[in-house]
Amino acid sequence: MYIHMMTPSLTTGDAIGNYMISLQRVFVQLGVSVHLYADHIDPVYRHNARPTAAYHPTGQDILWFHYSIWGDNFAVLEGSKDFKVMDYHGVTPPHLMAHNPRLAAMCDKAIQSLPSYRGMFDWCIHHSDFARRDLERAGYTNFSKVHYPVDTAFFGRKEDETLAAMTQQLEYILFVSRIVPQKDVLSTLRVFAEVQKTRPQTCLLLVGGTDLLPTYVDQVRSEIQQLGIENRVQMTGKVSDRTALSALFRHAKFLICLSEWESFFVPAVESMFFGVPVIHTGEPPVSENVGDTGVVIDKRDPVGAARRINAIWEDNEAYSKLQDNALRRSAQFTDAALKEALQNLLRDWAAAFAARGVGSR
Amino acid sequence: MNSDIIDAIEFDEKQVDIESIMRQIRQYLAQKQETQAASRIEEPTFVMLDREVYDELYEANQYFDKIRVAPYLTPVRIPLFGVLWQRLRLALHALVVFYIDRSVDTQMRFNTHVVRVLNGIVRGVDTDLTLNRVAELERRMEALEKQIHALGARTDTTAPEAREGS
Repeated sequence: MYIHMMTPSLTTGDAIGNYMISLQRVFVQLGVSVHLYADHIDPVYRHNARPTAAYHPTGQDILWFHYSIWGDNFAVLEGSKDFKVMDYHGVTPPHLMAHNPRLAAMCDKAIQSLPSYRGMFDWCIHHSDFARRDLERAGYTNFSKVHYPVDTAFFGRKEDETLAAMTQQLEYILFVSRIVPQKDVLSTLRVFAEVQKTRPQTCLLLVGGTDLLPTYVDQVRSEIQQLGIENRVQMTGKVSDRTALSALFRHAKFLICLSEWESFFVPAVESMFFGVPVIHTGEPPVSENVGDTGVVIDKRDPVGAARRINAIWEDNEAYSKLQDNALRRSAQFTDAALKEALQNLLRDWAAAFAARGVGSR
Repeated sequence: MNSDIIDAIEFDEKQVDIESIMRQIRQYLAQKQETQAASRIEEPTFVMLDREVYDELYEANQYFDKIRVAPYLTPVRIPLFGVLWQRLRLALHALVVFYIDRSVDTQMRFNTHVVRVLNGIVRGVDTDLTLNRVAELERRMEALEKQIHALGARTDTTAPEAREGS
């Protein structure tokens, strides 16, 4: 039996791409062969993945379909006789993609089509209870929850020493995401400006791509000027090197995420892996994934938010507790946890396979 | 470790120049990202067969073993005699199919081997690194040629002085 895993676009630095590679790695340990397919394959993955057209359904295999945006590969669902599994990542609300009408249309189509595919899939995988509610509303019934893993084999093993020499001299809050409206960077700046009034040495590092929406990046720059925090905020651009990311995470005081919407927010899991607490708004799915390792604030009240952050900052005992919680909770997101979840999944499917009369090979 | 950047960092713990460190972080990360981007651009073009090849291969995998035929008899509407006539026709058709099937078995075995070989070739092409290696060798050869030219030019400029000195 093979697992044919499919996504519209397999690229580096993308949560779904990293997750697919992790799944392949863990399934190999379980003795299951996984073939990766995508409509668009980043050259880095040219030896890992094949074009969607190379997929041959046999009726004996599993088609593991990653559902996050509409793509050409939806066409294969109709003709496939394989056991079909939807891995649901949530779909970005189109109004948050207004800057890119094509992507907004593809997100809209994925949302509209979700109920019509309920008869197509034999099983659904979700990564948070928040995402599960989307599936339930669309009429899906068979579910399994699988956490995204942090690639512990690679992440955090070593850090960029040059960068670490610099970051460990600073006291900073870290933001890791693309600079786009969905991430609500403006609220992040307003909260930070208030924190900085009490803690003038504190910095904010905005780590993420700035090329997607230059007009919003200009807006962010203008807000930095207006708030008078230009000498304490630095936009670094996209960082895909994991040794550099390790150095940034390891020496941060907090990670901050005040997004308008998230399907999961992988940096929160990575942050927990380094024992760094996460500042967030208490909205799912971040609140669900972070659990008792986070600091919940109201982003509409920057003064109150800053007061809360500063209180934790100054309370060594409370901060250490958050760190311990983060490290403990990060165990849920390791390869070992993923392996256990996949073993349970395979057991569930064995029963479903037997019901369908699917053999093994 | 990048010694220029390390030398530039102010290590006096009492007086940390935050702005300077933040600037250096940005410069360092930008430099690192650029280096990575440049090394990716230098990679040879993505080696992958045309999409049509995969479509054709998919079709070949679907049909390579579906070449058997069943007897095809048009209905006969003559009472009594029609039934007998149909039985005779069926026996004759079955005889033809029997001999065709013997050939079909051989053909299916052949098709199976051909499709397996094609699958293997395509998989091999997908993972073949030869072109990457050739591109790398070409790059190295170009660099060596440049070095040889540079050495040649240096020899040309020093030769008259050597002659004058002798």
